[in-house]
Amino acid sequence: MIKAIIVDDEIKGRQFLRQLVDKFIPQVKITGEAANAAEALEAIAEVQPDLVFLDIEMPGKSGIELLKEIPRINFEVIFVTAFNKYAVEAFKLGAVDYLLKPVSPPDLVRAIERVEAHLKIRDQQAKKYESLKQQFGQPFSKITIPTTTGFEFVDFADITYMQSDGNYTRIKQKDGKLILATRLLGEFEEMLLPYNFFRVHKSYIINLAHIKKYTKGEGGVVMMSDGSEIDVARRIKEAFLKKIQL
Amino acid sequence: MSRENHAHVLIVDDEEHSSLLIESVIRRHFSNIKKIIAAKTVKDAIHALEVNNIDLVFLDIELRGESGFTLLDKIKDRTFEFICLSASKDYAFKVFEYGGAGYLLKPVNVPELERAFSRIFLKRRHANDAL
Repeated sequence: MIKAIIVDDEIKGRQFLRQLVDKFIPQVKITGEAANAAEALEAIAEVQPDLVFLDIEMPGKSGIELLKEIPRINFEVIFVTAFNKYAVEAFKLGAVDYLLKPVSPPDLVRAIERVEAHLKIRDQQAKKYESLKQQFGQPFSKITIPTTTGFEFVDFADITYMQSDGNYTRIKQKDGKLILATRLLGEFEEMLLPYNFFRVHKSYIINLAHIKKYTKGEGGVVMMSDGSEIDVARRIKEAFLKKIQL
Repeated sequence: MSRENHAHVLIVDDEEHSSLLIESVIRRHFSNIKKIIAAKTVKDAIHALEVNNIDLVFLDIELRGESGFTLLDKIKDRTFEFICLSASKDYAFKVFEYGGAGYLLKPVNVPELERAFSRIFLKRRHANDAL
């Protein structure tokens, strides 16, 4: 059973889609509705949906702005809109499909088939990652990094810094090698907490062992052993200085 | 279908610099790609698809005198994923309808290209695992 919510400012739009789903898509259950971005955030937190049908043009925040605000999108998205002009943005955000209103049953069926394929992959990936984590854990000094080609096992000490890149993370190693990890930066943060790493910025986690220089400023700038310069966020400065005991 | 660890990519683009940029990004980041083939016309692309097991196609929509969609229309039982490229936003909705896995605006921005590519290979790898 796929749990879904509908986000649309027009009640008629929500009703129409709900009826269509009820009639043609037995494997999907609509478990929540929202009329704006704020309600949508609440519904997502409460329902933990597998799928969100998302309108784009709504009073207040648009559906696109809403998605950009969510740090970790762990559901599939089908945009449902009266306009086709946002399709490029929808691709960028990783939407599974993009349907024009009024939604036709064949389009909806096609979209749900795509969602099912995505959910299956997501599930396999999660299982595989868990089993690898259990198998290798975070043994002694290595971190398991999922990449597009498999997994890499890297020594904590060899990581200079990690940089957020959308849904991915760029991991810079001391030998200059770059790994593109298929995980969000925030997920690494949890893993790295017990080690000597620090999130100096919303887009950066650095290895404190690789700091070469700190230059004062509003937040300041750290220079890493490879010469990269990374901004420290203003609101993080105090905690950071405490961490490096200045 | 070839396995992910020797995946084959076809780039269909009439502009050589664009094709070369895509190829260089793929080679730099994705060592599992064993073969990258370039085609400038729909005809050459169809031939390349017939003689190779292509997993992923980068498809320029506005080819010289023809449309990338022609290629998609001519291929029955598509077994490859595709990412479309265009200088215009106008075709993106149609690419959703065709089942495209990505849409990149030209000139191609490297991080976006990497992201689209990673997303698709992750998908392909797990799809293969499921076989």
